[in-house]
Amino acid sequence: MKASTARAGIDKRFSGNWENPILRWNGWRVLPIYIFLAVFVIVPIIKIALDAFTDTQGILTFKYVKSFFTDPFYLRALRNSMLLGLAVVVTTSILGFCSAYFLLRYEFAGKKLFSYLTIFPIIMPPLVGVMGFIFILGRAGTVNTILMDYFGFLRPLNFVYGWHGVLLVETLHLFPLITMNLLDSMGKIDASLEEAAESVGSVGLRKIKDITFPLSTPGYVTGALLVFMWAFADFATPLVVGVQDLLAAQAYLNIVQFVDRRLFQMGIVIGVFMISLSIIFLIIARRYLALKDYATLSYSPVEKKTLKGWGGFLVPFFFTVLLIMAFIPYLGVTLAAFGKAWAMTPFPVQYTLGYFTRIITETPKYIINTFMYCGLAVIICITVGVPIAWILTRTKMKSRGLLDALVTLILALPGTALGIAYIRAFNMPIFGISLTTLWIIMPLVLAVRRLPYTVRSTHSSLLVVHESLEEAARSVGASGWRVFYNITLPLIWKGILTGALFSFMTSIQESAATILLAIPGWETMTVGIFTFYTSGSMNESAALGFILIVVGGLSLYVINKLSGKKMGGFFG
Amino acid sequence: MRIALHNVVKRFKGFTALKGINLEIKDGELFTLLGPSGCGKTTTLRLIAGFYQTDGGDILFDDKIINHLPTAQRNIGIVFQNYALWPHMTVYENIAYGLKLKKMPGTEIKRKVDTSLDKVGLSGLQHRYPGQLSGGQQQRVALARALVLNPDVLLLDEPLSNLDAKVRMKVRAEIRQLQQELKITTVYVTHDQEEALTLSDRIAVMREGRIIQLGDPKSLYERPNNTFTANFIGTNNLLEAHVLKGNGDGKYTVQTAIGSFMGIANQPLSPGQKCTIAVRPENVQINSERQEANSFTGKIHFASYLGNILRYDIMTSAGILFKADIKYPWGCEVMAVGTEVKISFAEFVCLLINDRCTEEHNLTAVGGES
Amino acid sequence: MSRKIIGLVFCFLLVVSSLMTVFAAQPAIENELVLITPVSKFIVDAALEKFKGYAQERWGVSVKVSASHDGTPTCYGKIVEWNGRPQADIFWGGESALFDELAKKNLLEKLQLSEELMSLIPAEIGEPKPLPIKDPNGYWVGSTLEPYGLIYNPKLLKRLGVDEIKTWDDLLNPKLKGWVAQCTPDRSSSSHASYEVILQLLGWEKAWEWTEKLAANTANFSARSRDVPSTVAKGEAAVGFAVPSYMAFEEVLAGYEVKYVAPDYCFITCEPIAVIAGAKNSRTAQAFIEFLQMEEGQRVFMERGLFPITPRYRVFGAPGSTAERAVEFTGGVRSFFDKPTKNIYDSELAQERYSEVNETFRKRIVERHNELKKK
Repeated sequence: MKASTARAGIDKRFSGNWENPILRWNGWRVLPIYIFLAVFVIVPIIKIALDAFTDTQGILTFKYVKSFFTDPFYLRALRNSMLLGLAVVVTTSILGFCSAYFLLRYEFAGKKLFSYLTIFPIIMPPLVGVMGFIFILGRAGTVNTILMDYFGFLRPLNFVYGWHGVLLVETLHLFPLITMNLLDSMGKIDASLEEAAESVGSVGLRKIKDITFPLSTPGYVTGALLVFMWAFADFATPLVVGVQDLLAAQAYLNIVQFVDRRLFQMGIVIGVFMISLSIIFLIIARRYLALKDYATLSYSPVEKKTLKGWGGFLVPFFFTVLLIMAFIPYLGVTLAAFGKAWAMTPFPVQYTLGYFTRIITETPKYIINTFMYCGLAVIICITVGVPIAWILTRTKMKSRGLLDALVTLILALPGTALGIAYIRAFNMPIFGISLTTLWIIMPLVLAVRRLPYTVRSTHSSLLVVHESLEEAARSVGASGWRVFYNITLPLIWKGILTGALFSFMTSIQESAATILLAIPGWETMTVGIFTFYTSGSMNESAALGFILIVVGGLSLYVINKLSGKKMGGFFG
Repeated sequence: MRIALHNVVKRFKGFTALKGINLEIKDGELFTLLGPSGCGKTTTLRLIAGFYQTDGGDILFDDKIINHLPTAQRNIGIVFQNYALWPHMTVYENIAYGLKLKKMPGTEIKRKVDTSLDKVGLSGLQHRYPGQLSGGQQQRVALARALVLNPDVLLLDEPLSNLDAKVRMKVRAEIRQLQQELKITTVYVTHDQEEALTLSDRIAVMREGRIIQLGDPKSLYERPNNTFTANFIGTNNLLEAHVLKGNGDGKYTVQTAIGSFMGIANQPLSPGQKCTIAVRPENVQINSERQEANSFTGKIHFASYLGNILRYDIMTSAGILFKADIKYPWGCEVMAVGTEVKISFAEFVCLLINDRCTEEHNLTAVGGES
Repeated sequence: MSRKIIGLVFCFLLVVSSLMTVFAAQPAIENELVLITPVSKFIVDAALEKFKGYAQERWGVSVKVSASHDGTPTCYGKIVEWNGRPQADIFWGGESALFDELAKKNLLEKLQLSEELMSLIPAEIGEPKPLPIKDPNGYWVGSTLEPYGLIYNPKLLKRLGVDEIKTWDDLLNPKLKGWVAQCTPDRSSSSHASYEVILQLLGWEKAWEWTEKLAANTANFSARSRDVPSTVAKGEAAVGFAVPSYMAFEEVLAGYEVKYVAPDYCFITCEPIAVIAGAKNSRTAQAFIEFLQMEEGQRVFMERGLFPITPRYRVFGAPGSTAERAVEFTGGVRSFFDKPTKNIYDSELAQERYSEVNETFRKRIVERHNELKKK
């Protein structure tokens, strides 16, 4: 009657004092994993932190930090960034909560399609995504042109330029992070908890406020943290819509200009500041979540109600409007990728394949590099991520907590900050070569950035493989690795593949870290988007963005097929 | 509060969970729904709670039809199998939540919560979170939460199934005591027949969405009117038989594979009719001096010493196993396997049961033990 | 036995590889060329493509070319950072003052242009303030002449009821409120130079008042200088401040309807070009710079809305050719040497107060932008 009670026991045993006898004697085998994380996560962070406190002569100084905290401009940028982050958290929370709640609790027309499309907005190629918004909602965008040409508006409405534009773009881009995390944790609330509330007279919004929402907080907090850090670290969106007094924008502007060493140093300080902030938030979130561990693997999901009457109309309407809004960048990018000389008309008048021809004939390396680096990154993700997941679920190593924290930290680290940290840490020559001059740094930074997805996905697959299956294999004489290859791997390959694909899909969208590291010859599609954009070739950027969207969409489709509905766990 | 169910039907995707339930639960009664999993007992309880809507028939509280009344307005208290304590609230907050919703003044809430905690013996644990309590304590908090609002009806959904055997016995007694004290109409769902017998004023035995027998514990145990009940409640020796003749006064002589027996029936039987005889092991005597109506011989096949009783499985001539219990086995010698014994039992303990689906029941029931 | 074979193979490889080095040393230039440049892909790609053909024809070398596109300050910063071990061979474009700085730091290699080509290029252009277009010490040389003017969208201006733009002051028309595109001086050195022109033209205080009025007409500051012509072409803005002629022309070639004007005293750059000291492909780099000075090289610019660096060539083409369209687009100018060019931009003064201008712009304009817009 109660679903999946069998799984309940598993979880308890993992968190209990169970120890893998195999890994006890060959713990050293996982040493390379620790070295990898130390070199590619911890060292860069420490290096950039040191940089913030040393001057050009290498002497300890607080002057940069001090000048950050005494410059009213930076303080205002800091305040703005915090406010923006919070505002985006609020708006994404509302959208994310509504969409997750509707999807989990109701049956309505088009639900399957909506639940499938809801994660899509996460695929937003850098820069052109926000340009897509401008093509549709800008002063000369589709909407305003229609308003002025057909509805007699004299002046265009300002949808995107300014703070509200940043908020709009980031909300529509990031709300799926909240939806996914909530689907995961709200979906695990046992039906009886809500029924008990009803039995004592708690209904409707009251029940949601007092019971449903508090019980969803573990997932919600993770989602909100990611949204906050993402909004906090995004520099492209604000700059494109004309907002610059934000920390991330300042960090980017300061880092990419090399002339003024003081500004460059300030960029580093801002980078360190962003990293510290993500560490602090992570610690707070972990403290908070440790108190609120409601996780049960045994639950009977709340029965979905079929919506009738107004609800049956309004909920699909909500999703339709939300998704139309969220798909605006895709529409804009697509039109720009195929439209020729599109100006001041609702839609392009002429269409062409010329931009695609140009990127494919002139700069095929963008595409080749993207697939090569991301492919390599995924291989690294699997090589490093699967053992990490194994350590987390199957061993009782003391360092598990640290490992888990590191993996979550990577998720929250702003890409720009990581990029800066890599430049600072790896331009020292080792054996005469510095890592920043070797192309391998590109797949490496991509792998590090996207490692958490592979780890999470493998981790949750391992959780549902009862370790007694492995014990049984051992009892008939299989050795440690044989057990893994013959028993565990066949049971979790889907999870690994899903995570790897997710890592791949997000790798091809990555720009924050790679844009700072790429030198001529290493450009990926996202770097290409910036290069074309910088040289005024918006349409070629859009064409690259279009390819990214298509590849991302295909990956999502496959992921969806592989993992069913359990996509929320990736971000948690 | 009286509860009545009239022809209640509930359908889920692809199957009918309740196929017409009729019940009258008296005011202040502890009424148990008993049956194996999937029989529809929890569905019935959830219909009474208002978590499900009926697909047919009516549910009445006193004389009012409440088919569509939301749970929150039914004034019920419910304890779930997993207790469903809100993990983000302390014990105090869990119990006080319903009162808070009623906009009760703070001091009043505190007094009520304290009293109810006192009643379930958990004073001093107000500020713990559910995760910090033992199973038995959680169970009591759930009970306190259900009772603090003075509900008209208390619904208990397998409330003891997650507890250790010893704790279960203790809490069982406490629930009964509390219920008697409060005189609250209580519906209790369980699959544990022993629990049902101990606690209940009346029991409804359910099977495949139907109530197949309803009565007080004593009548259900001593006069099951179908083989399922006979087999589900306690242990019975069940044997296929057909009626040879009626002896008047509800007594009949029947023929089985082992021989002919004399027994009593709840309903009239006619010669030639098929029936099942049910004899409880505790009513069977071994090598008794007394002259009983029914007797035959067999060989000891297996002996199990259970402490308070000594149970023999006896192989009869027809290859059918027959169970017999020796009460007060202190000092008794356990007979060796293979020993030939005489088995006998009285006419009034030999029940003749006739149900329409004997065939089907025998497949699962004969020789089985619940 | 196997050891013998390995030995033989090794010897063979040694001979082959040494032979190959001997032959490989023969061609006059290396087969690779890396640029670091703020100049647009539009120009750079075309120049590199033409050069590839030229190198193939002249030396039979197929050169692998690539370019890293960065803003002028970034390019400069990177070259300083590389400190003699550069990851690029050529630095092309931006402020001539920065090239002088690099030369002073010994980070540039002396040019090996032929006397003849060098003598074709005048030392300077413009009055009252002459603008150097080649380095007397021979470390850098100008590649083209490029005015930074105003781009506008005639269709949009018509809708707004504004006449075609001719002078700097036309930007201050109140009807243009919210329709001007500009970039901050700290994000673009060319924008910076155009603000300097205004400062030197009007004097410090008056110039800032002018800039405040300009900002009042600006909805928001563009992320990069390249956004200015794009937004005007797209119709997001009506007029763009400080746009090089070729970027505006690039929009025309892309099919957009934009017009261009270079007001008096507008900033002119010669897009200096130099070989970075320690360049791996120094000979190819020298060859590329020489190529740009030849007619074929100059043609790259002339066909893209730019002007020759020497009076020897004038922009001409068949009727309807891109060169002719460019002439028409830039108001009939075929060469900057046809008539006296007005220039007031003082590079030394600009470099001296570079940070001060940026800082003042941030304080007086950017931080007060909302307030200015309300005026």
